[in-house]
Parts: sequence; C-alpha cells; structure tokens
Amino acid sequence: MSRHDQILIGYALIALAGVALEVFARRTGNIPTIDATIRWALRTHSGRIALFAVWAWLGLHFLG
Amino acid sequence: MRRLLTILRDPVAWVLVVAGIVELETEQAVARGAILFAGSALILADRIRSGRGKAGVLRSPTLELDSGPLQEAVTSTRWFALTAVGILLVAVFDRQSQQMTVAASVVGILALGWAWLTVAGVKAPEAIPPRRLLIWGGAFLALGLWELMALLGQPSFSETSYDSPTLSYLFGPVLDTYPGRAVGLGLWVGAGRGLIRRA
Repeated sequence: MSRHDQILIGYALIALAGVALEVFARRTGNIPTIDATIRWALRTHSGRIALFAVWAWLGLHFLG
Repeated sequence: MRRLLTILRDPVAWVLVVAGIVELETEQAVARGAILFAGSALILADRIRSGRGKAGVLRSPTLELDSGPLQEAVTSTRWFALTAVGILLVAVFDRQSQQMTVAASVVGILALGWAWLTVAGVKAPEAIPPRRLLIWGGAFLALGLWELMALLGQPSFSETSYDSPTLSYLFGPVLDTYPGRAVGLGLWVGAGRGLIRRA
C-alpha cells in the first residue's frame, strides 16, 4: 500500500470516527453532540472570536 | 507586569498566533495569516479592556450590539436568495485568485467583526463536563495532526505532493471547477450562517 493510500485511509477513518461519535452522542447522550460542543465554545467571547476566525481562515485556505 | 502576564495568558489567542505564523511561513498567504492574527488581537484587546485574566470568562464586547437582528436576517428567504446569487457570481473567479481572496476576506472580516462587537446571545447549554468535551477535542486534534503529518511529508511546505496529500491537495481538483467552487462556497457560507445563528 502506497503512502498516498495510507494517508487517504487515515482521513477516511477520522471522518468515520467523527460520524460514529455524532451518532453515539445522539443515541446515548453520554457525550455531547457536535452542535452542543459548538454552542459550548460560543458561550464565551474569546470562544466566539476564535470560532469565527477559524471559519474565516477555512474559507480563505480552501477558496481565497 | 503581573497584569501583562495575565493578559497574555489566553491559550486561544496564542494558538491563533502560532497558526498565523505557520500560515505565513508555509504559503506566504498574507490574508490567511492576517485573519488569524486579527482573531488573536481581538481576544487580547478584550483582555486588556476587561483587565480580567481568567480564561473562559464571558466578557462583554466593546460595543455590546444586539446579535438578534443579523441572527433573524440569516433565516429569511431574502438572505437565502441574495446569498445564492452572490455565491454563483463569486464562484466564477478562480480559486486563490485576487477576486476570490478579496470576497472571502470581506465576508470573513465582517463576520469576525460582528462576533467581536455583539453580545453573546447563545443560550448556554447545560453544563458539559470537560472530560466529555475531550473526545471531540481528540477527534479534531487527530485530524490536525494527520494533516500536519501529510504537510511535513511534502517536498516543501509550498510544494504539494501526490505521495503525501493534504486536504487542500485532495479538494483542489474539485474546487478548481465552477460547480465545485459554488458548492464549496455554499458550504462555507452555510457554516458561517450556522455559527451566527448559534452565537
């Protein structure tokens, strides 16, 4: 297996883990959902600024 | 001196500074670095103004504007229509062209400014034990480290590689097409709308 494939599999596994975590969170309530986590981060002013800065950076990174 | 140290002790601000430096060093992307430095500067400005050092404490923004009007506006049909037209127009420009950089920068700066100037209207969710938040922190950290590993595997920071693909490299061919850019812009603006509604 090439390094290219290994890295792709790594990204896929992380994405699958994220989906699995969200499904687990919604079904059991044992861990917060991604929505609850974002709301938690947004409750402080520095958290708001950081999330908006990262969001703006993502747009500039992939598109701008 | 003690107060200065207290002000400078915000880890979020320093994470943004380090990310901004890495961005400038690796790709000489001024706009991308600048938005991260701006976020850091706004957080530190809040600390200087408030004079309180405890991380995570809700601080009042500078002007304490009401976040409600924009939060309501982004749910309107008119907003959807105008945004859709804007996305279809901006997607005409190539990825990483000057026009696209200006468009994304303007939207990003406006949203960041709004976040700084408005009062947090978020209904604080039920207290979440930090231990339970760690699992999501771990997932994002894993993604960040994997991306960093791919980045370090490139011939140089500014030279992409098939053997060590980063997310930018993988999504690049899709975002180089008009439909891909339109969808990408739509997802990005949609995520921003989601943040505004929750903030």
